[in-house]
Amino acid sequence: MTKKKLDVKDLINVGIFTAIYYILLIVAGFLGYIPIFSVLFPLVVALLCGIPFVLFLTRTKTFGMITIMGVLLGILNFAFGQGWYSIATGLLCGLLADLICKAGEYKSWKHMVVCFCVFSEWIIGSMLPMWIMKDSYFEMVRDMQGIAFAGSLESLITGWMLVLLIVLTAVAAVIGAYLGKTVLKKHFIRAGIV
Amino acid sequence: MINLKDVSFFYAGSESERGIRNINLSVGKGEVVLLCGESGCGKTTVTRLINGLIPHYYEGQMSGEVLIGEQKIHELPLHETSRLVGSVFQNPRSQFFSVSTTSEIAFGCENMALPVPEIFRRIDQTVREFKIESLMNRSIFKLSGGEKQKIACASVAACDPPILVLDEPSSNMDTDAVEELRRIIEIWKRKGKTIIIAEHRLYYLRELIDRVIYMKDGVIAGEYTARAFRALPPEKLTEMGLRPLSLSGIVRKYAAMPESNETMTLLGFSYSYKHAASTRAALNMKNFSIPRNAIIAIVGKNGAGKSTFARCLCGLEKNFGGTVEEENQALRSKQLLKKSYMVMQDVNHQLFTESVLDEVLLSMKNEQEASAGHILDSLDLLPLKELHPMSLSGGQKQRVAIAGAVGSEREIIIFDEPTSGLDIYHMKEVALNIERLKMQGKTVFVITHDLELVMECCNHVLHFENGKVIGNYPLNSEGCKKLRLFFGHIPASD
Amino acid sequence: MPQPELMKAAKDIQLDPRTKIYLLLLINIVIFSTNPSGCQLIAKGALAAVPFALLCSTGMWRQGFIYAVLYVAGQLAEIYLTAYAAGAWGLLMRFTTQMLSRFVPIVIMAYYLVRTMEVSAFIAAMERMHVSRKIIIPFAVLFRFFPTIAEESCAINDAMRMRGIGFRGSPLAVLEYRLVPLMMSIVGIGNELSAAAVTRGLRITGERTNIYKIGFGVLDAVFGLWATTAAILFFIL
Repeated sequence: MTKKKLDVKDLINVGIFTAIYYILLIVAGFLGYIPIFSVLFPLVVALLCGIPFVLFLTRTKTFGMITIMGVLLGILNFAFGQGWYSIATGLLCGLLADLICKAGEYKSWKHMVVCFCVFSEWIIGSMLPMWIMKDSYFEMVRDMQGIAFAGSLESLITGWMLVLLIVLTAVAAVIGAYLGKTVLKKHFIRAGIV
Repeated sequence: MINLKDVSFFYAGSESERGIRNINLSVGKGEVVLLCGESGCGKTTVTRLINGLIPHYYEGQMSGEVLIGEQKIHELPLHETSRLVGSVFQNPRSQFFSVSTTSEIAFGCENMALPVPEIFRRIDQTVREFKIESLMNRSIFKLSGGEKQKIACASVAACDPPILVLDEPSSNMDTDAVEELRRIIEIWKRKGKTIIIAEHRLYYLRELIDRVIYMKDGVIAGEYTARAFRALPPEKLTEMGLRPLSLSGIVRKYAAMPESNETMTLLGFSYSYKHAASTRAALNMKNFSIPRNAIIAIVGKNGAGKSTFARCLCGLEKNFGGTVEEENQALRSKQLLKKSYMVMQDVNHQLFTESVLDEVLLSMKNEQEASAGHILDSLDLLPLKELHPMSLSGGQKQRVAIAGAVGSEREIIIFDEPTSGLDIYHMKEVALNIERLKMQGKTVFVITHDLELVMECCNHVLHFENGKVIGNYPLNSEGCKKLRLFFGHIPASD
Repeated sequence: MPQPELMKAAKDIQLDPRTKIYLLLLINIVIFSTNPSGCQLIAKGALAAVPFALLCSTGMWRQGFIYAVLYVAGQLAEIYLTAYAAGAWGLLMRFTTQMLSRFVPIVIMAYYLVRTMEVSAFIAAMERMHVSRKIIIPFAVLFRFFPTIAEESCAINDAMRMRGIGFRGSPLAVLEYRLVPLMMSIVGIGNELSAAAVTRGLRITGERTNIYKIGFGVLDAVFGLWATTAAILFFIL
């Protein structure tokens, strides 16, 4: 059942689930200090945040909630010093995810999985500077580390790498969504909360 | 002023919250009406009909009409109703929208779009009337439960609605806070507000109420004038499942004293928090002894150090250096963590697994289903063993937490406010469970503001003030007098 | 008549929240996204000094001092040392100095923003900027819930320690034990909060007032000009 208009309850739900999502993101961020994990950061976020997101979707009946969540996450990322690209990707991914879920009338599980896949891509926004400002970035690396090293690093930061990251994040999101569904069934439904 | 005409309501998709049937109730302007009855009798549902949360927030099937003056509340948008009816809820933790006290009091007025100078005038007036100057400009997260509830009342008062609805407002309060709540309601009554209170704790309302509605199983089962209600004998109230109307109505159940003379000695119970911002009280206790295998009530005002004491006794404070000596062994923080167990005020925090049985198995050193079943049986939980702990009622959850304590073979068990917001039936059930633990040889500590619970099951009292023990006495007739004195009432003959 | 103590609360807010956001935005764009050299370094330093001055002006001397040391050390190391380092050590060094000279100013600015954040003042600022209440309400809830989540997870943590299940079992089980009770509790509090908020007349449309007076003062002008000049210089030079 889709409701027509957002009400206060919906907005408060957006607020609390954004808070939980972001706290998990910070937890995942600590993993980022381990070098390999910093590249895999979006995957870890998608994996962890499946649980709150699926629960959030069970309380989502109105268009706009997912979009607002995306924007808020982007703003938070900006405020915590992760650059402003996240606001754009948050809005974009949130809006697309919202449209997908709406197509499934906020109850189709398949749509929800796709929705979460698309939504999870927003976090790549915090890594985009590496690609967008590649030139100035590698100019600096070349100056400091020599051409050979810069070349080997530069070869990693290619368009293909970005595509691979997006695909891997989507895969992680599918796993995250099913993890979320498992926990939902195991706990929240049995506890009568959903 | 308020008119409920043949109202029935059933919550959508919820078995835990039962509905109400055929409620007819009219409340005149300036009347103070008490709604009482056992948990689940439907009194909260009636308050939700009056403040419009039903049917606008809680969904379900409704029939009949709710009128305030000429307005149909069930058709009026909630923000319109909020001008007529102010609400104070049970849980002080969850009713604040703001982070600071001042903005919280202003919140309702801001939503009404009152001009800013007018809002300040109202805040000023409310603060003075309620004498809460010292609470202004504070973080909500640094207030005690009683203080939060005062701010909630102030927030509603600033909006100045003609009707006030209070849903079990005293649940998390100590005796002093209850007295202040009584004073606030008195102020409202003097101003001619119409007040509806759903409540378990009745004694503080004794002189305030004009009429009493007694509910049972979703219908109105009795209506009394204040005088008739006050004239009811205590046994009748107990039979109705109600708490006594005055503290002197609470009688000592029996005077069973600890059988053994064994004691445990608590040494060096001093502790202060490093962070000055911490809300917890410090401890500075001289060494003292208490009986083992007894039920020990810990009483004292908010901030006396009861929770800090409990946390130290549980070994939850890492840098706590005190010890507990019993049977020639000295237990330090680390051992205490394995030896003692706290049943928290919010038991939701300590239930982790997906079934009642798993919950007990998780606490056992060797997971044996047979003995787990035995533990569950002793707490009447066996029929529920497959259910998710969070789907149970509050009392059942508490029993699951107790089962966890028994399963992990702890010897010291601490209850933190186990009966806040419970009716008499459930309070007695808790008392029974505590006695069962004592019979199994445990030493039980009960932190409580509930004189009835103490009189029902405890046999020793520890009285705290400012982080010190100012009373350590057995609960004999002498002890009862001392205890009653603390609870602010002149001892009757015990 | 406004209460003296209420006025005090309003005075504690030294900068208009909008100025704080503007400063964060500038620092974000300039320091994070470009690769300075020569005179640009001076402009960058002038901008990086903004969070330092802000911290000191609110009495957070210790934090300000630590920040200054980190930034200056990082910047000097980046200029003079990294050129000589090579190999794995060089990479690590470069990574560290980058963190210190680029990332730290933004994080410190964000830290200042969050530490001095009076949620109500922020709401007032957003209302002034005509941000939709569809954003403002969840935003306010978000900040109200961070401390709540911390409180709840502390309580859950205590319960886990008491039962000795701190780190028992697989990582998934640990995640489950921590996350599930936390979410149950937060969702419950959220439901009650929504009910309380609507009975206090909160709604999405319609007029609303705010007791927090916001407006630009001398300090706003000083910091605004300072940061803007530094940013302009940075891009010209």
